[in-house]
Amino acid sequence: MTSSDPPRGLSGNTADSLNRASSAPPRSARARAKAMTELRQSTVLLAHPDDSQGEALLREVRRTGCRVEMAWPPPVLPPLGFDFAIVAIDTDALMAAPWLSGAPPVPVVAVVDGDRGLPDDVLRLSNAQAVLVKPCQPAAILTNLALAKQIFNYERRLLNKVAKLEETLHATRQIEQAKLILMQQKKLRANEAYDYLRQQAMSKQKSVAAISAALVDAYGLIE
Amino acid sequence: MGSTCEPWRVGVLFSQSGVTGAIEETQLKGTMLGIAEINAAGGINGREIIPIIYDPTSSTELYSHYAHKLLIEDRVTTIFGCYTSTSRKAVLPLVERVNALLWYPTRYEGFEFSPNIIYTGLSPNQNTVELINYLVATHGNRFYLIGTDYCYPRRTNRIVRDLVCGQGGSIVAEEYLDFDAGPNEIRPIINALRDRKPDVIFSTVVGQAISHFYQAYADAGFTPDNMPIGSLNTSEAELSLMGRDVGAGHITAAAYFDSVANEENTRFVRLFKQRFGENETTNMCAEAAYFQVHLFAQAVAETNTMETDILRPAVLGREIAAPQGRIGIDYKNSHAELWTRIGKATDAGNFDIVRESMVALRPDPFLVT
Repeated sequence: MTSSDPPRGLSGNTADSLNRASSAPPRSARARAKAMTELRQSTVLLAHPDDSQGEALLREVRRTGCRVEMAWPPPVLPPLGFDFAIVAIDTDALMAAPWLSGAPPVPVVAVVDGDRGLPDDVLRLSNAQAVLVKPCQPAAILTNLALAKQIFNYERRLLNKVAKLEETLHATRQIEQAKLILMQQKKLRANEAYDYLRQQAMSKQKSVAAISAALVDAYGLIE
Repeated sequence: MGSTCEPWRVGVLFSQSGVTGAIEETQLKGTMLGIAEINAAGGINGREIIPIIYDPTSSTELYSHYAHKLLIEDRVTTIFGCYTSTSRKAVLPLVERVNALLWYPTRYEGFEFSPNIIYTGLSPNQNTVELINYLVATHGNRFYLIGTDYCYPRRTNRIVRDLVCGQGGSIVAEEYLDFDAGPNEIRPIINALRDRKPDVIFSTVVGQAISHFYQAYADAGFTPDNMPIGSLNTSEAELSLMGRDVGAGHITAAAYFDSVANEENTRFVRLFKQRFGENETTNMCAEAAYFQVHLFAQAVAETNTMETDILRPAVLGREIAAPQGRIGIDYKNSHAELWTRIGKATDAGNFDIVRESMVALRPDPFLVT
């Protein structure tokens, strides 16, 4: 693909690139292996009672290659310095660690005991992104960690997007209020009121939203 | 990390046929020109860019289908593509779900923020506000709004209505055509224009219907000096389709016209003609498609990965010399800082630039700052 190709060579190029692309592997095995290696180097908080099941689980998580710290009951404060939390979810755990049903700072994988019936109500109250049923193998642990991470990151992106949109919505409302105040107080037309706000914003190097908020606040004081 | 010569595989999604095929094909050309240039210079960090190209033929369903194919089957994480807002909205949910990056080189109606899109076309504060001010000052404030029936025209007209009425003007009528509208659908509009005699016709008609509309206008004997058509999307590509003298005298606002005079643009126009033929003209959509590939390449050269969470921060805040002038990507909203220009179509199928901004304008997609 150089500029010496014949003019109008688009369709030729298209077919060419398509052929070459389809002969390439979908995604290199290397890239996938890299993601797996990264996952195996994670640091995991394992919140599980120190019983025989806990010991077995600790052993299996270690076999994945992850570094593990075990604790029970789960810490009251959100875990920092970890990449994941694997938590034996029950009502006690939810009561001991409020962050589990709030906004966990890391992806959470719940662990439940298959023999005791599935505690779907407890799962619903937790913010776990994946569930392991004991006893579990390293492969199951790793795939659940990978899934939890995906969902956790997606949720985070959506929450950030929502936060930005809410901020914008709020700003729009304040600009409308500020415009109304100016229209009433200074007998301006809508576009004049907006131009006034924009000029103020420019001369004070602030956003129209910030100027509007200040005006609405100040008006609240004198009214 | 290790060394590798594995190519950078990217998705390219522009229609080559259907109602918006003509303009989208120029975006494909802009993209291919950018890629060819980078590859000819040795690729990005010694690795070639390989585009995987599908043709959605102006069909929303196919846009959605091929986006799936690119992201799920071909496993790309970057897509250059989309022209209509309908097509963008069709691929957006999946792009967000798999955390890919869509590079969108088309002006649009604003009021969107996706962390997974880099918007390289104009937002309403960069074109609509300027165009309305110009039209009101030069031609008068009685506006007749005509558009194609989908979200871009309807939302744009909401903004236009506010702007025109805010300046004491009035909207004489607001009419919408189907995507495949032809002379028969346009005739009643022409009759209404003859009766109502607005000062300005504001057109958000897109695709093939643009030619039919401007042609019907010319056939009716109207003259742009008395009642010009103002548009945000009628570009050199549409002028050449309608027969160049048909569009002469009408007004378009854009970040870029092929007549922009600077070194970067001289080069871009020359390469474009060399590659695709002497009769090919560049336009705002082809230009954005072109510079965004270079923007992408610069960022990837730095990150050496296309992983969205690493690549996107490297794109935000980045500046580049584009054919339209120096442009940048806003940190906060991932829309582009672009130039504003008002052009009057000539009978040679180009635009005389009658107004232009001194610098690139910051994007304000929600019109709040």
